[in-house]
Amino acid sequence: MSSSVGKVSGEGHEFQTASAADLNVRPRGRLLTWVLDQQGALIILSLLAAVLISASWLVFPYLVQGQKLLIEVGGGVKGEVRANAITLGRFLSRGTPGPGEAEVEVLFATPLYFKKTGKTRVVSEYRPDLYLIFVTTETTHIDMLPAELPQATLIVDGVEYKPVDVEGPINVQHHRAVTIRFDAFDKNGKAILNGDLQKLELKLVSSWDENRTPRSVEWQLPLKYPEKLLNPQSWTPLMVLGLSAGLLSFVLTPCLIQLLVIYIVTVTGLSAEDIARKETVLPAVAGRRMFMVAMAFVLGFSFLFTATGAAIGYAGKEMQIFFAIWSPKISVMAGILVVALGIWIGVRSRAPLVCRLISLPKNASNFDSNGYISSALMAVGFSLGCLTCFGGAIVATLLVYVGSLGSATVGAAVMFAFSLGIVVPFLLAAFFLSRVMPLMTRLAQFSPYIGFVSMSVIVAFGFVLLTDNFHVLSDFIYPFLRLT
Amino acid sequence: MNKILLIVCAQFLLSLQAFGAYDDGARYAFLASTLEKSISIIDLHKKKLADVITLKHSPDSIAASQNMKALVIAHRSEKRLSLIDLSSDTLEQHDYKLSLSPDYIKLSPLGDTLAIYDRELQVLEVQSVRRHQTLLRVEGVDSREPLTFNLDGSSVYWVEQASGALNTSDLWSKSAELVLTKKGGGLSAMSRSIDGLLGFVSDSLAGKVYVIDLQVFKLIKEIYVGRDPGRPWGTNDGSMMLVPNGEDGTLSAISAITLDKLFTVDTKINPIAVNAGWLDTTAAVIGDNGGVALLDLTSGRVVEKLQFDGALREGVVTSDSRTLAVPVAGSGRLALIDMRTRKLLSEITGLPSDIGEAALAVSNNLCH
Repeated sequence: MSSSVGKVSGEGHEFQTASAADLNVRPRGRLLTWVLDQQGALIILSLLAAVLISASWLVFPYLVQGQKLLIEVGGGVKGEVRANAITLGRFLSRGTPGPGEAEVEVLFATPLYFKKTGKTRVVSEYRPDLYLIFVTTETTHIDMLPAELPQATLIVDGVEYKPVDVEGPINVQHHRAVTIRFDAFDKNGKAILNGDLQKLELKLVSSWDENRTPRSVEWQLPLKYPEKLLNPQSWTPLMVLGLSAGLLSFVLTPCLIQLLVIYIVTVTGLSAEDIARKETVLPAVAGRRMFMVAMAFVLGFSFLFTATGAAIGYAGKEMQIFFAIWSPKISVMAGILVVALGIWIGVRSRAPLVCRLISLPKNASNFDSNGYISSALMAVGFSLGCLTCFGGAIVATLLVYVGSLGSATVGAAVMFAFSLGIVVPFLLAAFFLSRVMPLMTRLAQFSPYIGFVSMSVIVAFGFVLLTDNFHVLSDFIYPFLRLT
Repeated sequence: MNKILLIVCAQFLLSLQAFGAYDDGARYAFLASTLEKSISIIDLHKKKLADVITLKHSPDSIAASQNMKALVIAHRSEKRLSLIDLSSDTLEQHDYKLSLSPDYIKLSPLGDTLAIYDRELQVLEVQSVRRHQTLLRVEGVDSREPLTFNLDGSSVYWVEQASGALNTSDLWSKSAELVLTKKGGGLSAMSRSIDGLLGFVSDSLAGKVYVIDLQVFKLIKEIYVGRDPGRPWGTNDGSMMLVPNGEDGTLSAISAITLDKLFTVDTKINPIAVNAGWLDTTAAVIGDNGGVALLDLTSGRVVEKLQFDGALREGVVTSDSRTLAVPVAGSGRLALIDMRTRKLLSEITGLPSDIGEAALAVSNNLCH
């Protein structure tokens, strides 16, 4: 049985690796003795098991039909928006009885109408904040509609106002929609609709009959909107979970595999560095530190994803445009950060070659002695790169399936729940590694090499980000997963 | 140890070899020429003609599949289909005989099944591209308009003008008919919303668009647009359906969420196609007279007009939504329009004069 104290020298440092005795591991029987003798294989197997545990979220795409889930949740949300739009449209519409065959209906398109009916795109065009907007719909079943737009007059408590503009097609057959706008403010800059009890009347004239009989419609102000429209059904936790699971299983698998690789090499790299730096390795402490390093990593990317979710929920389409424009630049910045952190890990773990080329100032080694900051920064840096890959895809998916979230809180909740789906397996893997660490008594002997491998992988991924080639790697990985 | 390393290296090299020259579905566009019996491959990254594939038979229509890494070519008079393996370095061609004339072909969104329609026989078949196996055969299909698949390719939709109805059949031969109008003859092909929940069919005679809930296969709304509306085109974010009104020369935008008409804008173009791009803030209305009107969808205004010397074909927008590629037949060019700046980016010349519509396996055109 081998239980001697190993000595490893490197760059002027001499440190001891822990023996089985130091580790309070009492070999009992041949099996454990044999296991402790097979340190190399044990390390590889442990890492393999950790990879498998941390990749267990990958079962999602095979178990959950992400697209179906997104359609179900999104369909429900869209159905509610549609029902509200119809109810609101009916509430604000008035028919105009009068002679002639034509049916004329008028919709008073208030700012709430634009907001609730998802017409944010046309808000900048019609400006309901500056104008009072009415949409008339003319329909005939037998005759042709007159080749003129209706002449409109707005009467508020007896005071008449003329329209600013009237927009619609002139030569039509049976159907026409016309938009009529009035200034919402009078000459003195005072709002025409002041919130007091008022009568709003719209008078329309056209040759719907030979005598051009005017038709008029009325609204009593202030408008008392149905309670259901003002307080629609809010988001439920189930909806949020559904969207998160849908995103995890349908949209983001390829990118997250890369995050998994970075996670493993960061945790092992920083832990190797931790072991190498201590003069005496206390495995319980090292195991705890490893878990904390992993915790810092998952906190780093969870924070970033949640913040991005809030921004997506709040800005929606604008965030998609932001990602499209800024992705390459963000990717370069993230790449530089990741490369720098990769080298930092290599130097601190006294990786071969690197420690000869770069020597740290004396005080530098005291910085982030536990590796938590490095780990969190690595997660943020690489996740930033991830976001350039799938940030736009998240927004696009949510826009397609939900329309828009319309809430920073809901956006944050969706992405936080999404992060949890990855965090749990990652932490389980770290927990496993921290428990088996006491068995890896010869790990410290290899720590410079582990550091070197970690650094190489991280720097390589950094260059992938730097060159804006994140998607290339994803494209390479995805076919092997046999997912469509 | 060395042997293991050698094996690993060999495996790695073999896996690299599996990536063929033109199987990047977002990068390579394909243009068919019936006269020259060829397919021109356009590299959209380098903006140049990358290669030309010579065929035995005239290509009448083409479709590209990213999933299969293949180009499907229909030869109508020969009643044959050709498959070009885009993952092979030599671009291997395989062709096989059909029992019907492929007057119209349509790949499912996943790219693994193909709908083939024979107008004379009035037969519609859905085949597995990989196994060349017929999955569905429907007889008595009288449609002059293109077919539409649902999202997962398990159902196919078509309109029948005589009965004024939208029809559907799934791969288990479960069929349904929904009569939309008593006055048939003006129905367009169906376009589905991006999430696959709704179908939109224009009626050029009635000047309206029918909205169908595809989950229950019921008509839920009729929306009046302009005169002679053509097939609706969806924006990629699922927010709008854009309906070109042929007689008016206008474009009507419908909210795909609230199903209201958002705006109608005069483009002064008789449209053959509408493509949305640059994250659905721009729409290009491609006209039959060589004109392209570029609209700002956020304000509903025409912001730019381009005029080309030749007959335009249906274009395709790249998957990043930045570039619209429009074939210009007659002058043998492919015009690349920047959908962000709304300007002509460049033109690829030297293509056959009779090029047809562009095919791109991974594109921004998703609603058809």
